[in-house]
Amino acid sequence: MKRILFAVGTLGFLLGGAPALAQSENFPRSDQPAVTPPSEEHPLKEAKIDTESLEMGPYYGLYAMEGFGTSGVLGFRLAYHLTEDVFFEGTYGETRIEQETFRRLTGRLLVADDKVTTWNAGAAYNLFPGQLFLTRKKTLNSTIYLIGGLGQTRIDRQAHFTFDAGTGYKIFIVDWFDLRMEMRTHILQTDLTGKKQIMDNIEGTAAFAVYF
Amino acid sequence: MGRETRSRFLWILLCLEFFLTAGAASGEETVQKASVVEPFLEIHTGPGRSYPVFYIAERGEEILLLKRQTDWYRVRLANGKEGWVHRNEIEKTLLAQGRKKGWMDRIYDDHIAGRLEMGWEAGTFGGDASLFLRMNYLLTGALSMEGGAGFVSSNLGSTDLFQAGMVITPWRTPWFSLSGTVGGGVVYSTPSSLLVDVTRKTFHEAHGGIGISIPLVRNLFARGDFRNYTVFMGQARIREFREYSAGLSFRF
Repeated sequence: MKRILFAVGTLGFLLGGAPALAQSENFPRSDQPAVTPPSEEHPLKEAKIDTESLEMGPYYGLYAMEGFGTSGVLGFRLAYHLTEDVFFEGTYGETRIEQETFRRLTGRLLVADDKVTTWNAGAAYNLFPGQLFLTRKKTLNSTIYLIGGLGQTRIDRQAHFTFDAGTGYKIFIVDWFDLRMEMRTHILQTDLTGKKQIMDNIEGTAAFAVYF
Repeated sequence: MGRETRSRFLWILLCLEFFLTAGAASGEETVQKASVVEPFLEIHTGPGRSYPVFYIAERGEEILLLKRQTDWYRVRLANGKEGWVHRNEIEKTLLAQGRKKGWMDRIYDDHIAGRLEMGWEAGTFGGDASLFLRMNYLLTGALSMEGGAGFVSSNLGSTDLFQAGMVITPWRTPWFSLSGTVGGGVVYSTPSSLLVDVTRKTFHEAHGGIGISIPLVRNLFARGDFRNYTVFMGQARIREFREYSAGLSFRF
């Protein structure tokens, strides 16, 4: 009986204990790699990497002033991209108020200065970033975005508080140059016709812009 | 399109050409090199998670970091392929080099270190709707210069304000900062065309106030201001107005 117990004990030591003892003395622990591959370190300096967070460019289009016809609008925009989803944008545009219809009806001019300027600052959300498939092999990045903000519309030197909202489609020709189409509505209160009224002016523009 | 508009458009085009040339020239000078340390690195076609992955770089491949847009880096691989990698993936490479960038580091990199702050605020001025654009330049840790432009729209007409001042920020924490401001400026008042006297008038103003600034994300701040204005209307007449505003600003 003693022989059997001794044989079993010896076998157990050889199968379990001895290899573990040998490993702990002669081999590295299992949580460390047996071989450390040589690696070349490249110290990274993020500040040195060119950052393109700003986007700017001109736009041109049509500005329909409710009740006063449609005129061309020329403007400029500057945007700051905070994340891949959100950007903030300021725009400045110039258009003219169409007075011909009013002059024919009333025999007088509505305003002395027909120049109309708009500026606004707002936030935008890239709703549907994706790709435009031009051909089987050629694709361009694109995005559909929503934009809204606050600003002013200056008619005959008088500034009017303005809410604006719209949507646009942007196509990236290269990653630092894009083309875009945009529709916006500008809502403001005026007294141009002698009584207070809410104007809803629609603006449709085409634009290009560069990132820097 | 009139001659004036055409010349303005040409001027804009010339400016853009300058930026295009400058942008193209500066791109190659700032290339940084790194190695992929994760088992794989997903390369996207564009700087966003919604743009598809078109290539997967393997561990050990060298990448050149060409430029950055928001949280995405444009990278070039040894085989010439170029695409976009998220900042988190790049940080894993940084981690392997013994240095990790946490969110506090990002805050410091992106906006605590910045000196220029630009933003806009909407609110009320004397009870009427107002909108201001404001720009601050940090001179020292607590003192900054401020410039601003804004307008107030009311039933009686509109008012434009152009102002300059000094801002002192004695209390700055990672969560918010409080400041006080004093300054002055010019006020242009344009009466509504419905009124009899529609002559545009110019006044001067002096103001003082307090403000709070709260970091939201990266270099974006929420800010709020209360200011008391004294407008000198001429002939020893003085009027007081109060401005309550809130808005957003960026620090560069």
